[in-house]
Amino acid sequence: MSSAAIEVQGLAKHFPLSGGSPLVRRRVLRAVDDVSFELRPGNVTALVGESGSGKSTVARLISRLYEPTEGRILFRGEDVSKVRGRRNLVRYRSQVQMIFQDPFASLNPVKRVQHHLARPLLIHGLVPRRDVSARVEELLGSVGLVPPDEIAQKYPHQLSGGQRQRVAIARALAVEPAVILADEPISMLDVSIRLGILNLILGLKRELDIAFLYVTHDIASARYVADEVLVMYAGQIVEQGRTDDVLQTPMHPYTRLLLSAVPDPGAGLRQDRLPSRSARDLGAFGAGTQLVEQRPGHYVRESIT
Amino acid sequence: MPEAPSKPLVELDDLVVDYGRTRAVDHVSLSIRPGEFVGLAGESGCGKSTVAHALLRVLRPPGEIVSGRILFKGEDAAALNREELRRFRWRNISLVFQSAMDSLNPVMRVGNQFVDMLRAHQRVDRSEALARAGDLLELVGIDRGRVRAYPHELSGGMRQRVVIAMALALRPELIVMDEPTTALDVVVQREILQEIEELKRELGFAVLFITHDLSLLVEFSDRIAIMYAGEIVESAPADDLFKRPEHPYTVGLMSSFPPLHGPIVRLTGIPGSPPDLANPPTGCRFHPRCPHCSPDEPQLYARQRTERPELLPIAPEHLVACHLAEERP
Amino acid sequence: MNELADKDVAVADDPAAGVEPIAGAGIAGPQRRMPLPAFARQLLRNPKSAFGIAVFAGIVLVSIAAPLLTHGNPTVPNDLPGQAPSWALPFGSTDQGYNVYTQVLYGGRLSLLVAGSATVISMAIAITLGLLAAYSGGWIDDSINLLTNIFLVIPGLPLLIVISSFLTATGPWVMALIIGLTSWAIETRILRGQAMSLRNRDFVLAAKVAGESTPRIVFGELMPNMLSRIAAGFAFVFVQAIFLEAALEFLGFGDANKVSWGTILFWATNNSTLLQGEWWHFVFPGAAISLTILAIVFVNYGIDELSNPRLSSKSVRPRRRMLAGMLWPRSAAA
Repeated sequence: MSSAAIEVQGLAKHFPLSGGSPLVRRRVLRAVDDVSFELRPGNVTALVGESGSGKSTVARLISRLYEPTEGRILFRGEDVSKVRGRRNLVRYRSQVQMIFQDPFASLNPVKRVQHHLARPLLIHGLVPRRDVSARVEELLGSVGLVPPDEIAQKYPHQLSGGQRQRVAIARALAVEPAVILADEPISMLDVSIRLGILNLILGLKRELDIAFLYVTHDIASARYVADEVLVMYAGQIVEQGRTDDVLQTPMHPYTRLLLSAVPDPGAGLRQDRLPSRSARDLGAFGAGTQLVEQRPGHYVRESIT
Repeated sequence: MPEAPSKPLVELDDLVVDYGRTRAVDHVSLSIRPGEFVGLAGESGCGKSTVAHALLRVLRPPGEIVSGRILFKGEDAAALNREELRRFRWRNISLVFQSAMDSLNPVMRVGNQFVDMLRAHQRVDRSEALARAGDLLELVGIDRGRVRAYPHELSGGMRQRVVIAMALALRPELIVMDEPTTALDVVVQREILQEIEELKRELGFAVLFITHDLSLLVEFSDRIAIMYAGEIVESAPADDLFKRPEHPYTVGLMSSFPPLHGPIVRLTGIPGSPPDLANPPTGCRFHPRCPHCSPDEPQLYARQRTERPELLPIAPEHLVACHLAEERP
Repeated sequence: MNELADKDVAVADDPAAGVEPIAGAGIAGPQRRMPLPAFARQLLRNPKSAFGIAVFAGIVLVSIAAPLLTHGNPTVPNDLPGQAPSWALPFGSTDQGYNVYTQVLYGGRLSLLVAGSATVISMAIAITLGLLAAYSGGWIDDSINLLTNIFLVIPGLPLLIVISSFLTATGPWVMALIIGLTSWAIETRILRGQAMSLRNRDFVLAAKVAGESTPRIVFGELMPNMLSRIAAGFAFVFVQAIFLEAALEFLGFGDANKVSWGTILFWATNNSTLLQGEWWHFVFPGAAISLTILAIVFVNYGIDELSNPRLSSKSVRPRRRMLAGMLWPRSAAA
């Protein structure tokens, strides 16, 4: 197993909740709580969860858009959680990139595709100015956007959603990163387009040995691309392991609940009813729990007793 | 699944809806039987939401119904005058908009919004209307005390249920739902759909469920219609559609959902992207993306590029609009 | 589906809206956002703003071409005093014998120049402060907000009067400066608001993640997305500036020896023209000011319609029907 590109240890992010007088300690929202995992080169790690599970916050913590409240983030063994100084930050950003959920919102509507790809190249001084155009076209070709010279001159609104997302991926690739954090990259795309992007991710992980973090609420897509799956609930990881270990033999009740709720026409046309809210078993989570290795490489959260 | 075909509750007969010079709905015919759960699936730009809005005649300008009939129990809803239309809406057919949970008035308590709606249609006094509101909330699984809540105090799933309760308030015979669960988590989505199923059994209304999530429809619908570029390309009972999809688009859509069980195969989805309705492809609108369209078969190829395929039955209840299907015996 | 929604709220099915968050269709051009050249082109295409731009351009041209349009010298009283408008004196003459027509034509230069410079100064401050406050947040935002609030609360014209009385010479450049330095508050607040709504958009975060520096993000990514509001800001402030300049001159705080529309009005009051019935002395400069403001107002209409397509005149009939329907529910035709 190659050494980790990113290692996250005990990561936590608390957001203060408004309300309450300044004298009383503010209530906090534990958006992320005690999260630890690794991103390895050439591997896709899926972070699966519902809204409010904290999965997007984890991605933003790793991309340094937020600062962690607790815990460490190690990049190739070096602690970058509280990196200070513009130069260090820029260096980090040349290695860890991010793709956002909304393909339209993540591109500047008044700038051409060319601008979006040229900026990272220029900021990080990767290519001499005269070679920028050529490199931009190369990047566009590598994500399947052809003809590249035409696409480079277009504005975002002239492209389809799938094309825009490919531009976003090309932008991330421009700096030749070691890590790409993809935050729900396909959830806003048309169904028939999604596979194209997933296949692109698979191709990039194999060819460029990039470590991917794939954040999603769509378990089926996680199964398709990911080597490892982490299931999140209420800011914590409740189950973690190789994809088929977790999805075919789920051990945490919450994982089981999630899997039973996913529409799966192949599994017989009428699935069992979900148990009612009061009867529902969400398993162990919150304070007083920890991840326990139930089988080799397969961790499940349990109460500490 | 309803028994022998009964008289349709709602019939869209050759409906055509234009937005200015763009044809969003191009000669669509669809029927919904009493108590039936009909799913309408398609991707963005296919016109499925337009169908929903046309049904209730809430198209915003420049959208307008150019031709075709909307028959409700045999009567043409397109011919109703303003006052009749107002009474028709909500009482006979109600509509749950996309992101309807965001369309609740944020500064009004939930109960008052029910009261407003009830009193617009019936002569009830406030207290009676509030009591009915409580009843309706309980019907969708929300504690009746929440009548006093503001929308922001409820979760997304609960707000969606409130909206569904409102849609049920006047016991309409058909509820049209436009992507009602898209913004919700998968667990909440299943809960709500199970509830809709139960209510449907109890109250006997029909549902037109519009979504892009075909896998969801296969599980809950009696019948499914697939829309592409403003046309219905296939329509069949859910079982049939799942096991024997005929139209290449349907086949492509089905294979766009990575499976949760079984072997992980490399899938390809459908090449290209949904067409621009302002400038749709000629002939069969799917032909540029169809794996069965190639110059190797010149006669078929010519037909695919020039002739619009008709929606024809290939089996009882199973309709397909495809030149390939026609060629088969 | 939100038909014709000009925001990407949900899956848009409507081809005419052109915006599809669950995207995939190669649907051309959403109306809500357009790159710079298109926006400027749209302004010219819209009848209201085209009219406004034409009138304003006409006024500017006339001021520039003043020597070609009149032989007189605005600062030399060459004509018979107190004459009503006639062929020889299109706008009549003042009690001192100045040709009002000549004065109005030449006066335009100063008025427009002062107002224009004041606008540029004001907007430069507003853009810098507003965007900086929105993007930086924290104490920078707080301090800028405090400053903005102070200037918002103090009424503009009285402040200017007070400042003018302290200054010994209020020539046109000084006037432009003081107007510019006191009228930036509203636009700062408005631009800050808009920038704040853009600040958390994914493309700004993406620029951050790509490693862009703060000034580059503020001026290179945020500002180009606010050009239509900034243009509208220029229009609003210009109207205010024209008015303030005229008001200050009229009240006598300007340099009465210079010729501008405001000073003409000043002399008109001085000569009690209203009492004497010499209406031409103040009507024509007043009309010039009003016409300029009117032209800008029409440009604003156009800008409004661009940012909210539902206001455009193309939808007037259905809008009228809707309005009629709201007022008389039964009588309006379906």
